[in-house]
Amino acid sequence: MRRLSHALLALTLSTTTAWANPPLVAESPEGELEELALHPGERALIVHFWATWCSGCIVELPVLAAARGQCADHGVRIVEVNVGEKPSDVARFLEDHGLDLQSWFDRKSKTWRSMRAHGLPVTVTWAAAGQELQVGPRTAVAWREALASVGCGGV
Amino acid sequence: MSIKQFAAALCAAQFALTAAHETAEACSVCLAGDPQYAQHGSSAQQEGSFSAYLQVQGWRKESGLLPHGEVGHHGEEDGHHGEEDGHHEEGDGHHEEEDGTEKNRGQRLDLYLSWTPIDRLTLTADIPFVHNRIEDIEDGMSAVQSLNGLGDIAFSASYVLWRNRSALPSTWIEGRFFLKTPTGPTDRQQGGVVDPHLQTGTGSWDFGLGLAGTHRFDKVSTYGSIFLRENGTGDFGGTDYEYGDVLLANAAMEVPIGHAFGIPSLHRLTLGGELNYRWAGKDDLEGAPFRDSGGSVLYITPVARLELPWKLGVRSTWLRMAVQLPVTSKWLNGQQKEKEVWSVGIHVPLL
Repeated sequence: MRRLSHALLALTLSTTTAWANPPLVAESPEGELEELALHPGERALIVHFWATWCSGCIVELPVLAAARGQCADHGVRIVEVNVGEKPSDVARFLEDHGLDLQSWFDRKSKTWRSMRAHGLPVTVTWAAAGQELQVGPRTAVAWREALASVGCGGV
Repeated sequence: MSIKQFAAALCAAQFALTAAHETAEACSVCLAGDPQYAQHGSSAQQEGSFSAYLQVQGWRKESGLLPHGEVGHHGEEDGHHGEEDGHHEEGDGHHEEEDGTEKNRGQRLDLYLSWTPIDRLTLTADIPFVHNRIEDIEDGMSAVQSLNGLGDIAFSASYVLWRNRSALPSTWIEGRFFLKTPTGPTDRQQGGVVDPHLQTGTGSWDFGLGLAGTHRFDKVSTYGSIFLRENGTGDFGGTDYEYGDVLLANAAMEVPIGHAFGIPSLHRLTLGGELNYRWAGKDDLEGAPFRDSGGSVLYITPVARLELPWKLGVRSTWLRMAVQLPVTSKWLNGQQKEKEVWSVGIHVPLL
């Protein structure tokens, strides 16, 4: 019952809006600054902004980590971008939580601020249907539906 | 909830708050509390944000009469105040109170516009519309006067001096600067007298400095601020009057009920409590302190905030209601009595 309450709360707290994006620049795991954009041939790009102190983010990361490989096979790229934290702290956090993913970084939070999202986690989705900004956590069920809607079903 | 139901609920809330205040007050230039906290949970906003906060606030105050001989008289047409000339004395440098009572009732409508042009810096303009009503009671007779109009427009700047992280900080300290301009009129007559307490402006340039800090726990937000305001002298139809300098200190906490107790149906409701302390120096009338002014007051303030279902961007619109309940009036100088101060406001993030 409590889990259901939390799931309902997460749903009611999250908001999705159509969105005209500024360029999203982040530091790759290799330490290079790159602009995140839909590549030719990709069906969708999902950029997920998160932080270690964000309780809603922590719930979502395992879902995204598990979906990443399978979605790549469907032409859907998932990129996690940590906001405002040191790579060493992030690496320790991922190891402690047994998460197999290589996060990107927005060390000074500039890209996150440029979106004016006023919250975390934030998920930006580029797909054929357009661009979308989601503020707030999604449940595992909501994530599966969202991924299916951009062509990565059955994860 | 439909708009009609919401409007009815708002009216009912306002009526309940108004009915609860037989005598409420704070002088118009030294209201306790912190409107910047009321707007945002603190004045810090994210870069590029622009928001508006519209607040209506009401109070009543009771004190001794101002010595009318010192207050600007214009003409002989006044049938009530004209007879009071000569009642005041200046024997010890203090203005002796007149034999009577001044009941002051006021309402303010404040529009706060806040903009955060760069990271950490938030600029706020406060545009007030003021209604003041004073009932003078003397020798069994009473005279009622009222004025309304534009008040004194004020500007403030807050800068985040320290924060624990750049994105959605949970702890931060900000410094504040405040400047009030003399835009409200100060020379309007009622009954041939220019009464400083009745004017919608103070005629002075005032400035202030302050510090505020916030820490958000998982289920509770805490806040504290301290603010010092230096008031200048205003010209009221040829009479100099200066409101006493003010020290404000606030401590507050808020609990988002739905999140804290895991109740989805209450996720829009936040309840909180504040302690609002004010110390004010005595007002100065033509170079001498006015006895029935200044002193200290401490309010306990229950607050309710309700997230409204309408939003212009990703941020929510909030309705805020609060009642400041004075702990005691004994710390106030002279014959002053202050009671509850009510306020209702709506915060609309525009960007």
